Amino acid sequence: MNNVSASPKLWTMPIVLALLSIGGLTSALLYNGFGDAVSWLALSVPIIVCVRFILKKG
Amino acid sequence: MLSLKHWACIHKWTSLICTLFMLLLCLTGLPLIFADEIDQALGRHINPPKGLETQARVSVDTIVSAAQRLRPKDAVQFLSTDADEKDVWFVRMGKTVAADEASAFYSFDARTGALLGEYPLDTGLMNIILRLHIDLFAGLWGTLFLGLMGVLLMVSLVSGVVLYAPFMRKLAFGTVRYQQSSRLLWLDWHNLIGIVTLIWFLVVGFTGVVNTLATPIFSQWQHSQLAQMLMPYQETTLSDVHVPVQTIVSAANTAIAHKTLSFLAFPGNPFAGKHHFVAYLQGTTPLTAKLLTPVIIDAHTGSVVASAELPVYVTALLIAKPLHFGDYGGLPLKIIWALLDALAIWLLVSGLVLWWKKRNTPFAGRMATQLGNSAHNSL
Repeated sequence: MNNVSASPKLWTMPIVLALLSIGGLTSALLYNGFGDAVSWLALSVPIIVCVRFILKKG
Repeated sequence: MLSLKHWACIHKWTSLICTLFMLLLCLTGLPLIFADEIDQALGRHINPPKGLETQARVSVDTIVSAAQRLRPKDAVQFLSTDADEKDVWFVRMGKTVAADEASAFYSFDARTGALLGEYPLDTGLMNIILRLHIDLFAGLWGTLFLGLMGVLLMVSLVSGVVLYAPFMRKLAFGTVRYQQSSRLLWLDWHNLIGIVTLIWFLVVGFTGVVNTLATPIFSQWQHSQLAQMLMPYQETTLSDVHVPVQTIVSAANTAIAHKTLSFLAFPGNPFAGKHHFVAYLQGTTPLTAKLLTPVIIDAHTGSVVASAELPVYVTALLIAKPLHFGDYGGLPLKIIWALLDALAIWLLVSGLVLWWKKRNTPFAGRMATQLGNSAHNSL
């Protein structure tokens, strides 16, 4: 895709969400307690983002 | 380099073929995320009684013979533990020690030897849901078919990411156009949910595919590494009498530092040897607790004769399990799994709606009207 470098803004949020997802999926696998909490927080973000934009009418 | 038109074609066909199966998997997966909680609520899983503050354990032989008395004609195949429930022993029985199918699955109180409960096998609504999820009631071929559908999902997700760029080039992230056509609304939902849940859906999809290969993976391991480790004992013929199972369990638990027994396969089972128990040990950290180390124990002497690290392809399967089930971060993670699963269902449905609404319009034309001339020129 020749537009990847041309439009960094397009990929900012997807990349941030991807990194959060990867972090969330692995932290609970590696650490109990704190690792679980990090994973709950990180993986909540995609859900909140989805709900927020879907509910934002207008 | 594939053109956008090719990617669109790939996205359309891989999605069309797998979507109905993926919908089935997402819908049946939803209750399966909470299978443990549902078992508890239905009273199928009986917790060991509380208030019995004792570290004492009955001999596992008491439990093995209790299970044997319940089903005198059957054979004990596996004895297993659960790191979260140290006071329980699980016993799996089969028509023979080598049978693929279990005939009973009991839980016993490790402190008193009392029978806690028997899991119902092959009955009930949850079993129907489970079978629909893992093999469509079609055995190994059903499982492998669902694995193939999972591969198509991977291709569909990747091609969807490629198409995300031209669709979103002139739009801010998360744009949802409520004021315009219903088609654009479905499209915006599809793009938003698809890109946001991408990694989770890729991971759950990919680990699902790996899980469909569990039977061939274990079979490959049994016929290579395990067979090799048991090779020196191939020719020995000995009586069926073995040392007490408790001796085997104790040997297993002391065989390797920081590793304890996860499950024990009885001699004659494909996971064990003819005259050897194989103890599968798990580590004590969150990650190593998911992994297994096989330890081969002579049934007649109770001594450890060999152990090995599992090859990468088996370890990959063991890591794929929690990442597919979402059962490794407590109830909150299960709830997150369920919400992401619901979003995935919405993604699949919106994809179907988009196809249905415009199934007679060629994709390139649609893209052109959507994107304006600049994108059209690049097609």
